[in-house]
Amino acid sequence: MKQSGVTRRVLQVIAQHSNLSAEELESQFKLHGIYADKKNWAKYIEVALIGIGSAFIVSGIIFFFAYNWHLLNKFLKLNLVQVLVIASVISSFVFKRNPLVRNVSLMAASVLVGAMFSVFGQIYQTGADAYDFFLGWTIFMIIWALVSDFPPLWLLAVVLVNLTISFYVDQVAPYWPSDTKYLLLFVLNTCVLILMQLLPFFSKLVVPSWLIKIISLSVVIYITIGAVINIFNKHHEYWFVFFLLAFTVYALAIYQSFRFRSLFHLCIVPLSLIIIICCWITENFNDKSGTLFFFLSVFVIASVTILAKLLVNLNKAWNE
Amino acid sequence: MNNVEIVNHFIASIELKEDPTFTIDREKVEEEILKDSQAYSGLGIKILSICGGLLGTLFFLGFVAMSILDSSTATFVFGLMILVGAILLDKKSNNTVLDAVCIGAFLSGCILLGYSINKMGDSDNLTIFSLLMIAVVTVSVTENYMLNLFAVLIFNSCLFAFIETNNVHILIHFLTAFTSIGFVVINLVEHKAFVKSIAVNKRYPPFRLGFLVSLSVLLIYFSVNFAKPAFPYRWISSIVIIAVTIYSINSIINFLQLKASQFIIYALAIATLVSVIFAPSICGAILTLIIGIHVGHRLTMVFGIALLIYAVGQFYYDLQYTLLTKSIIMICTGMLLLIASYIFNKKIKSHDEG
Repeated sequence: MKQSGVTRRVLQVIAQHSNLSAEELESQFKLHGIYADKKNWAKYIEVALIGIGSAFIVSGIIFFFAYNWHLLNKFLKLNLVQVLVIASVISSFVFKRNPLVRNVSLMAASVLVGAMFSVFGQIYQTGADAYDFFLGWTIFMIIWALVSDFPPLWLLAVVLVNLTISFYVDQVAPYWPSDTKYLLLFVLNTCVLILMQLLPFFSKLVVPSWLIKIISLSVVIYITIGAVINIFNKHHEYWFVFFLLAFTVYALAIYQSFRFRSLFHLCIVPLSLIIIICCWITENFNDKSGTLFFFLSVFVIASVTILAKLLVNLNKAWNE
Repeated sequence: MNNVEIVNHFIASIELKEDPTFTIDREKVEEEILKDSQAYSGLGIKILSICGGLLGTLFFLGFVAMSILDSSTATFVFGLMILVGAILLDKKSNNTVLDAVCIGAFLSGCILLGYSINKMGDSDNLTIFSLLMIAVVTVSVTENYMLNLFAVLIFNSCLFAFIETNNVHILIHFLTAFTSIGFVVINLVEHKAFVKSIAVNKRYPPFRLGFLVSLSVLLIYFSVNFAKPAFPYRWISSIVIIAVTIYSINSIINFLQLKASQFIIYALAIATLVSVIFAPSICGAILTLIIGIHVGHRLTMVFGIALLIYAVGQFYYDLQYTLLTKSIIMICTGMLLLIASYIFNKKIKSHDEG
């Protein structure tokens, strides 16, 4: 019999205030599915064997092409990698009833597309920038990410788009204002985040909370870095555009938190604001003595403590 | 079902077993569960507390460096006052709200004390020993999650620092034994720790996380130093981890009450682990993953997967073979694993049908 809802924490509290024996507690861990049973182990072993096996094969293929074996002619090399991509896609159709194999095959195909572009660049010495490579990779794998119901593949697509933008700004437009890279990245990731939040309203797809948290964190990190660059290095007249957009995104995040009663954004957004305010104070109060640092340490600790108190009260109110 | 209802349902199921000796303080359990559901302790507030605490510590140390760092005695007294203040504050009001203050004050106190002792005694070993004692005292006097976590991390870091500062790399294998055995024992005796006493029960979660982080950092150190000649006899650490892994597998087999296939499980485990005997980081990542799956602790599983990816990647990167040889080894290993998955699936299906 498995009763849902009994967590490790519940058992810890019960053990604390009762005379439950260690043996009984262990059997409760097993009964409530907290410790893995034979079925769980079978599932994990299957996932591990398929996942690690596929990762090894894909890595081996990438190493093989990286070796640039002179005995293989360029036609054979290109065909070999293309055949492998096609084989991976076909296997995702053949095993469409087994979601694990289907998703792992699509993931392998997506990674092999990258190998295919690098082989192309290696043979023809295209001299392309790194952003060209990531752009091509992104374009040719994004369809699979969109049609698959596999969050790790969505994450791969988001990472590739981020890398494309980052390399483009670094290699093609280094003369752009220094905050532009972070502006583009946070706007892009915010769009992805909004799309993911809206997805459940018009489809059956469910976006896991870990993915939303990773992308939210990336948005906050980009905004914080961009704002800090702007504070210490205001060398263009449109610096306020960054702040305007950043605070709009933060306002949206706070609105969303209150609407859906989620505290995660209410923790990371104020933390970013505290860091930005600290940098602003450091830049504008050119105090060489230790007083400024003392003031900043008191400011950080006091604001984080007050914030934690407010969050705990809010959580209490939402749970009553 | 809300949390209190879940608890009531659970207690009723235990009482159904009609154990006359079973007693429980329902009021306290309900009170604590209610407090838990109202006190937000998610990932967000942990990030906030830890980042806030660390940032506050950095600024405070900046202030100290510019103001009173010239006098060792003043720094020592100041550090001691802050440390004692952090622990007293936690004892007076043990809640999440003050975590950032406690972390900031505790870390500042430790750093100031360490700095002043090092300056006064002019001995790294004395500094390490003092910080070690501070960690032990902290664990013995406070039940706060964050302070216990940082105390465990400081304790293990001190052991590592002792080996590094004295250049006795051979002792790293003892540290491997300490952290890996500690990690496994902590995870396998969870049920015993929860019922031992309230003090052990409350300190258990930070100890689990502390040893997980310590073992992971040690494994990353092994991975980074794999190719360096200054790191001899790395297989000793691997043998220690292999022994601990086999012990863990034995405990899991007993827990699952597996009677058949025991020999195959041991043979496969030993064959896999011995094949990576020169990479203790891979052995350790496998151990972390096995323990994480067994106790159903998601964070341990995530650490295990991340460590495995990193350790295997670094191992192949450092291997003194051509890319072609590496690629052949990897493709063959991958094929073997996929064949194993096919055979495993067939076995499971035939077992289910049987």
